[in-house]
Amino acid sequence: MPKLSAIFDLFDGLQSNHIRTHQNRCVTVRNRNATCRRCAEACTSNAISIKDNEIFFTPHRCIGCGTCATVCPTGALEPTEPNDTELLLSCLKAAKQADGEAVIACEQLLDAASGLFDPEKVVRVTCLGRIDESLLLALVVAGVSSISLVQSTCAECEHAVGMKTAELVVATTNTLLDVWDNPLRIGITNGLPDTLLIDDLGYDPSRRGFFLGIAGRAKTAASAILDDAVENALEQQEEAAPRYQKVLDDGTLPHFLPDRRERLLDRLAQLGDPKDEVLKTRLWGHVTIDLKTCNGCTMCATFCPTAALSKFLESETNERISLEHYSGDCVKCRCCEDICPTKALVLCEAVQAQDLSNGKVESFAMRASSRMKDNRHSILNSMQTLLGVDQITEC
Amino acid sequence: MATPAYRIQDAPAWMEAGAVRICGGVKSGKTEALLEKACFLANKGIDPGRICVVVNTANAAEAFRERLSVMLEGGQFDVARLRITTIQLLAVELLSCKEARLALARNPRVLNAYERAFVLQDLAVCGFTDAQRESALTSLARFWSTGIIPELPADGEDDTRDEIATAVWAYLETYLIAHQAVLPEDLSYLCTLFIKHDLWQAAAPGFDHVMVDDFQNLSKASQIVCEALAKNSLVITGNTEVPGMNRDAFPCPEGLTRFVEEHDAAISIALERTSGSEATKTSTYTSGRDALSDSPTRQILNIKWKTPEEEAKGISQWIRRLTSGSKEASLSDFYLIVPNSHWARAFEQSLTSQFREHVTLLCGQFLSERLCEPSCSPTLTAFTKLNLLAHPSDPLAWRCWCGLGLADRGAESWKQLLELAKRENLTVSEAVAQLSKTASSDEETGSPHFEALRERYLEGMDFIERNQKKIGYALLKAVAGEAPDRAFSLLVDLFEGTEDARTTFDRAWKCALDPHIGSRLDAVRILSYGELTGLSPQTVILVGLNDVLMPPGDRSDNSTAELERELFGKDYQALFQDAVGKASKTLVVSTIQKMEQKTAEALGIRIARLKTEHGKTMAMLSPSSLLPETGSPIPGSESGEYFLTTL
Repeated sequence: MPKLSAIFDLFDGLQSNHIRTHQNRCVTVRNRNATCRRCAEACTSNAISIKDNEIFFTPHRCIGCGTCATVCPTGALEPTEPNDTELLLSCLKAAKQADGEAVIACEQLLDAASGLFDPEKVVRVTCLGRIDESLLLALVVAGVSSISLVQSTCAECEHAVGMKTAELVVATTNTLLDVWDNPLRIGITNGLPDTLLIDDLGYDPSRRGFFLGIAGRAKTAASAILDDAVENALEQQEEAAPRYQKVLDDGTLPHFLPDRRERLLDRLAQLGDPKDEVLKTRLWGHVTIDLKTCNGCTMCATFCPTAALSKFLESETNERISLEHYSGDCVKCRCCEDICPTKALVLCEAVQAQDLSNGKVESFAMRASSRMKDNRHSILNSMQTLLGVDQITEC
Repeated sequence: MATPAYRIQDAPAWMEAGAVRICGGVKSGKTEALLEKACFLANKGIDPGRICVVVNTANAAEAFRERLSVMLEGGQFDVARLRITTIQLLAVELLSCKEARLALARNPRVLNAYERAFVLQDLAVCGFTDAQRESALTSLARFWSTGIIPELPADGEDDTRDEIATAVWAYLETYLIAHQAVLPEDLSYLCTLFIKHDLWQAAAPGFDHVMVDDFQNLSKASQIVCEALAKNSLVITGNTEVPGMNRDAFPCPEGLTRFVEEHDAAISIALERTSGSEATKTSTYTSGRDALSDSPTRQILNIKWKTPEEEAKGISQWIRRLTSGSKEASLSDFYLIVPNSHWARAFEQSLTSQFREHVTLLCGQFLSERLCEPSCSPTLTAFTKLNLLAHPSDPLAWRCWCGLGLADRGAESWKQLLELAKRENLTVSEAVAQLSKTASSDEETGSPHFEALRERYLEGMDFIERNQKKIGYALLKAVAGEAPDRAFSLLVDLFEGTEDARTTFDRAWKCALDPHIGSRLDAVRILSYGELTGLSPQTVILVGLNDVLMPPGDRSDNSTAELERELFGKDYQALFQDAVGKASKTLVVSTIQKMEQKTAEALGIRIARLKTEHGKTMAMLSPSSLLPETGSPIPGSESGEYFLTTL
């Protein structure tokens, strides 16, 4: 389990011109038992890393690729310069220049091909891992005729892990387009479309990539040496005092559905109604609760970052609590699974597409608490329940 | 700091020019340029009564006067004599001169919002449907805004004029003349008629120097009036990058863009932006985004709330937290910009609940709308009583008095009175006076409608007799009771305690015509986007910033793909950009995620997405499409729930 102070320090350190951090949204900040490490797993420059179940950060390594923001389910990491809106506007503007073709390319490729293409018709990103489904669907809704993500020699790139994120995003988007019956498909290509090239010079990315790769590996070696030197030079810092979030009146932590998720749902609504199919994507989950095993603690709802899982009183007269789960608001952070003390809750991959569009929720009626309240025997009762033993003598 | 340009020896050449256009974007110093010109004229010894400054709102006029007073402090120039006014009040003054009354045979008694409601009701009982009435009035307003006098079709020629609009106008013209009143949208047009009349030269109205701020916001007719009044110099300012905002019903931005072509020897100056807003340096804001980007010390918050109720409560809590016990922040620092009356009411209630007292000030259109509501009878009653005392023979005052509190505003009864007047060739006032006669056996004048009118008339006469000599607070108590309604108190703001009915009514009437914010009141201002013109608030809070609220209308129609979509609602874009650039200290952008489906349907919002939540169906909303155009200066949203926990 990572130290809470390390998480706080991570966010403090990452805040920069490239990334805006919202530590209150991080699943691991909300729940120290959470297993989410997606940012570290996806980081393309090792700025965020895990060693012996500890999260470490090296801020000067951050290249602002935005891949961590793409994988973060709760929007705790928010890319800036460009932010999502600016990136979308750039893509639309470039697509308009390119007669409806939206092309987003890795900056390494564009640097290598400098002078060979019309820069007005293509959008550059540090890494294709920056692209998320909401951006791609926004382009589809906007009416572009095609969307291409152009990679460089990602296999040899020091930030190669970003490509895996990009591939996952593209696959997810194509799945959504299929289920929503839209004919457009997103492609990942190795070269710029001919329509973007200024003249036919027979540009060969592989040759250029070789030299870039050498340069990249040299840079990596140099930065690794530097990192070690910096780490050795830095003194051990004192642990910062923990910063805890305040709870709301209903005992839950503040909720926030990331803007990207809302935009994604809005774009899907604009595409129309989906087929009656099951979706299995990285985006949404479907909660099932074994009510026999569930003890009604409602911690899952307390910690859910988006209120996809929410609790409410069935009525004013009936004190029975129910839980509701809406897959559309679920970001699949698995915080609910991690926090459940009885393992009654399971987050399934399969989600009904139509549930996303029609806003259907699933309800779970919690069983009445077995513990007595406002009763002088309530401690005894609690002990009986905890120990699973009836024979306890009260003295 | 640059040398003030209003010292004569330092004045730039344009200050001596006859026709000058000063163009600049948001916060580029356009108003400052006019202030410097005014100071220049003052230092030249020009009589302040010969200078006129036309601004968009009464509030802007107040702000201009205050700033000018500071700049000229200690000098001999009497700022109070300098005419700083709105085009409406200027037009009323122009039409009040005896030559204008002779030329046009019209009394410039302008209908305000309350009185207009009675007139529209009277139109309704004459057989015109609501749709016909609205359409006709819009056509008329558009026509009047052009300042062009139409030629009637010659004999034998086809009359291509809008039939319904012509019929409505025919009735309305007779009605207004009989009641000695004019519609506000007709003011500038009437002035253009006067300008073209022979008596204009005899009257010789005008000023040596006229300055107009935000020229593009005026209608063509209003622009013609300003040009006609300027004898020696005319200086106008405006922003050519944005279309006119709806200060006049039909603004004419072409008047600004074509100014140099249409005026001999006119010069044009492009103002550029500086740090600090000195008017003589370079770099323009063309949009609120630029203004935002150039203010690194300005705090910008983007908060996403779950529901409108949460938004109102949360914002109210925030304001309370900032102002409680704080000497730095006061309620009047906060300007709440709302998309519609529903939001205005919700925030009014929420803030009142939070502070346990009235701490809000409805402004502009919201004040006008509120005052026209039947439930707002205390203010309407007080205003009508005051009118009656001030002008006991004003037919419009009697019209309102007789219709007060009645379901149809007494329209049927009044219609019968007008028919009587027409039949017996009486003026409306004379017909009203007939009501003093005892009930007759005549079928018409003995009818229940006439009986009701007669009763009302006698009540009115009794009221006048008992109170016409009262002044000061005794007068206020007589018209508004022991505890005047808050809205009425605002109408008589600055009451000194010695005013008679006529003086008090004039003040209330001016305020009703152009509800201004009144900087003296320590309250949160609630206003619409267009009301920000001429203001420099510290904290601007834009609430309900969702598609279909701002910009209003059906925004979920995606029949046209985004690439080919024209930028929707340039007017709303301009309003939004202006609002975004206004805040000097803090800008809050507030959006909501969802609202109950029934509320959304009641507001006429087309719903894109629904969600079931705890047994209710919620309509999911999108943030305003205007937000992306401001780009990176506005950060990504933060949860309202989390925001409140940080307070």
